[in-house]
Amino acid sequence: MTPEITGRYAMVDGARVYYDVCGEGVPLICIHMGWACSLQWHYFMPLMAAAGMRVIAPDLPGHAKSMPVNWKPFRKMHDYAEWVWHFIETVCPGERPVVCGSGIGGDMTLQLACKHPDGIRAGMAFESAARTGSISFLSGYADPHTFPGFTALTDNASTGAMYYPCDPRKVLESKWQHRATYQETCVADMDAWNDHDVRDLLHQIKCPIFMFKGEADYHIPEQAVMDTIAGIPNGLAEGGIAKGMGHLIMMEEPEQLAEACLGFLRRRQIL
Amino acid sequence: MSFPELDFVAALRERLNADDAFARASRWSDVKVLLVLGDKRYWLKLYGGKVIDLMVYFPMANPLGWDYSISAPLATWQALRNRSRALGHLMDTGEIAIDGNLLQANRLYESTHLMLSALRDLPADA
Repeated sequence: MTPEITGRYAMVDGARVYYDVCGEGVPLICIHMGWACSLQWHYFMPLMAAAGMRVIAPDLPGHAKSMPVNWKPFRKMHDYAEWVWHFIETVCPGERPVVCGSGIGGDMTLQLACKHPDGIRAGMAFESAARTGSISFLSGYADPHTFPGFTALTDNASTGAMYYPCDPRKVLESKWQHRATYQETCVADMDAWNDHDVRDLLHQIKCPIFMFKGEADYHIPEQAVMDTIAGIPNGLAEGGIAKGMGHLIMMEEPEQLAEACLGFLRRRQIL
Repeated sequence: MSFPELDFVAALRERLNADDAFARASRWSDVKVLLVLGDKRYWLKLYGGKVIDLMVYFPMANPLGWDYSISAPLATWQALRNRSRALGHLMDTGEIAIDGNLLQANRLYESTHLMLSALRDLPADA
């Protein structure tokens, strides 16, 4: 029987947060991409839960059903990552979860591994690197009057880097997953994406790290991923380029992604 | 018909005017768009979901001017058409540049995306 996903709420940093939970076992925190929400993981979660994990996927502050902290979206990746750390302390205190994330969620995963090196068992960062930044022109478009067609931008920017040909139903579903987040938050997400840089902190990582990037994802250069793997000390990092996948790796090929993640976790004796 | 000549853009116009998605995305448009394909410049009038006029653009000879432009070097358009580069990446990086009245251009973002998707997919011998 497929493990069921159930929704819950918590208070983190004074703001209400929504999160999905699936399964029992070692906690796995799944952090969604910029502009998206927890729905992004709903194919992936039961696969990981079936392997013995308690999979937890929040809506980041200001996304979908989670309120922004102090009614302002985060614009710095450090602030986002610290919020995730506080979320972990709230929903699985003292459990040292595995953390995975994609896009800005991947950036947060790496930030946590660098800044809370004893706090997580492992990190799995998809479509991410030690230094990121691509859509750099959006900072002036936080208010709706500046860009009335912004939803069309999110539709196309979120799905344009998928691996094509792709199931058109998944493309459409992915667009809808990005339509529940307000324009101001979307712009702030890109500010944070452009702000992220932990190249000088990689030496602080103490846990195993799995990096994975879809070959069609033009938002992140392959070299940045490979440089990140090489920059993490003591053979703790592995991974590479995912053939036949793109930007929305957990939507496009959830079974292949889960297989790769479970292989990593078993090799590293976490499962 | 050959890219990027006028007959190619005329075929592009036909394709857009037969596209329900383009009609929906530009239903409330009333703009003049300058499409710059390398050193070739084309003037398109969008109104009510259709491209209702098309001509080669000569700046001093067109009293109406244009609202926003969509431009790139020929090599960039060729990279789009042979799919060695993704449309989204070329737009995000400004290699395909949207300029002019950005409020109108951004309001009609989906219209532009559909136009350039059609430009990418239209065979040279269509």
